[in-house]
Amino acid sequence: MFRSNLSVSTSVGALLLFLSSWSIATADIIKEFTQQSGVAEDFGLRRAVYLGRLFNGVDGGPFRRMDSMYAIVTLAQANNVQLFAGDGNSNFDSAFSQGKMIDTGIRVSNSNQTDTQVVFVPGNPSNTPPFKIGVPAGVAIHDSLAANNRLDFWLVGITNSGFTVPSNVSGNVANFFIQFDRSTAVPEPASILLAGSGLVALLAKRRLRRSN
Amino acid sequence: MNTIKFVAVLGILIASTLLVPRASAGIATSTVDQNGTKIGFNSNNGSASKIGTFDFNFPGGVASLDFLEARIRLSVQLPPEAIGDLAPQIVFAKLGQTNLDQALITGDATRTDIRISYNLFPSGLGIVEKQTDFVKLTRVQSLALSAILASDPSNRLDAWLVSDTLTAITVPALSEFLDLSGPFPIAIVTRYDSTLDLRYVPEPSTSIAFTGLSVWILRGARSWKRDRNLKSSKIKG
Repeated sequence: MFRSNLSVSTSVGALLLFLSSWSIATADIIKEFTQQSGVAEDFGLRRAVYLGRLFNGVDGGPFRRMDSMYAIVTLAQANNVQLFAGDGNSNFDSAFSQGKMIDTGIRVSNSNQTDTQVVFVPGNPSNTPPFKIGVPAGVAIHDSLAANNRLDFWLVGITNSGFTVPSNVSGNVANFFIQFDRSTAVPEPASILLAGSGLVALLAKRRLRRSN
Repeated sequence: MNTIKFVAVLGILIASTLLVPRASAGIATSTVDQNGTKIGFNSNNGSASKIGTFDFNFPGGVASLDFLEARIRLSVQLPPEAIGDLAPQIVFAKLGQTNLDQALITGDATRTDIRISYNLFPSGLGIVEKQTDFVKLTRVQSLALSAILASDPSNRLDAWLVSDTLTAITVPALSEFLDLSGPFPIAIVTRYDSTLDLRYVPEPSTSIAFTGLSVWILRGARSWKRDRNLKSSKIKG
C-alpha cells in the first residue's frame, strides 16, 4: 500500500515537473513599427536619441519575460550605439537613473560610415535567428511593458557622439521596427534546483523503502 | 585719327574681348555625387562632412577670373540647434585634404560665409535637400578659391560642410528607408548629388590692363595724328 502511494506521488511529481517545463516553452511574438522621432538629448553624460513608443495598450498577460528580439533602425555614423527600452519619452538621463531604462544588450553600428543605413539587428528576421536577451534584462523589459502597457525606445552613445537618427529620409518616413519573443515562465535556476532536488529526494526515499 | 580708323581700333578691341573666352563673365556649375566622409574639425570639438569633389575645368584657366559669389545645393541632416552662428559653413579645399584645421591655416582651404541653416527651407529632423542663395565671396576668399582651383589640372575642389561645435551632422552619400509593406522588411536606397555654382567675372587687374592698353593706344593715335598735322602744316607753311 505504502509502495503504491510512493509510486503515485513520484508520478505526480514527475508530471508536475513536466508540466512546469511545458509552461516554460509557451511563448508569443509581439512586433510593431513606427516613425522614428529623432529628437536628441546630450546633457554631458551621454547622447541619447529618442526612437519612439511602441506596444501601446499591450498588457503583460501571462507572460513573464522577453526571450529574444529583432530591431531594425535607420541611422548614420553610429558605432556601438546602445538600444534601450523602458518607460520615458524624454529626459533619458533621469529615466535611466531611476532604473526605468533597460539596456537590451543590442549594439548598433553602421557598416558604411558615409551612408544613412537601415540596420537589421541581428539580421533580417526572414533568415536570421533573433538576438537573445539576457534574463534580467528580458524580465525587466517585460515588467516595464506590463506596468505601463507600452515601451519607449532610445539609442544611446557617448556624449558628443555624432550619430544621427532621421525622422524622414528625403520625404520618406524613417521607421523603426521591434519584435519581441516573450515567454510565460522564467527558468530561474533556484526553481529548477528545487524541483530537481525534490524529485531526487522522492526517488531516494522510494529506493530506501524498497531496500527495507 | 579719322572715324574709320577709330571704328577699326574699337572693332579690334571688341573682337579681342570676344575671342578670349577666359575674359567672359558667367556662372560655372558642377554637379557631383555626395561623398559623406566625416572627420573631426576644430580640434575635434566639431565636425567636417565632405560634400563632394566638384569639377569646373575652366578652359582658359582661372588666373584671369575673379570669383564673386557662390551657392550650393545639397542633401543634409542637421540638428535643430544649427541656426544663426551655429549653422555650419561651406569650406573649399584642395583635393584630398584630411585635416581641415591645418589646411585653413596653410591656405589649402578657405572658409566661406555660406551657411547651411536648419531653418533653411525645408527643415526637419531628417535628410532634406537645401539650396542656398548666391552668397558674396570676399576678395581673400576669391583669391584663395582661385588658388585652390588652379592647384588642380581639372580645376577641381573639395567642398566641406564644417561646424566648430556640432558633430551630429550628416551629409550622406546615400540613404535607406525601411519598407514594411511586404512580407519582410526591406531597405530602399536613395543616392544623393550636390551642385555648386560659382559666379565669376574677368579679374579686375585684367580689366584694368585691358582698359589701360586701350587708352594708351588711343592716346598714341591722337599723338600720331597731332604730329602728322603739325608736320603737314609746316610743309604747307
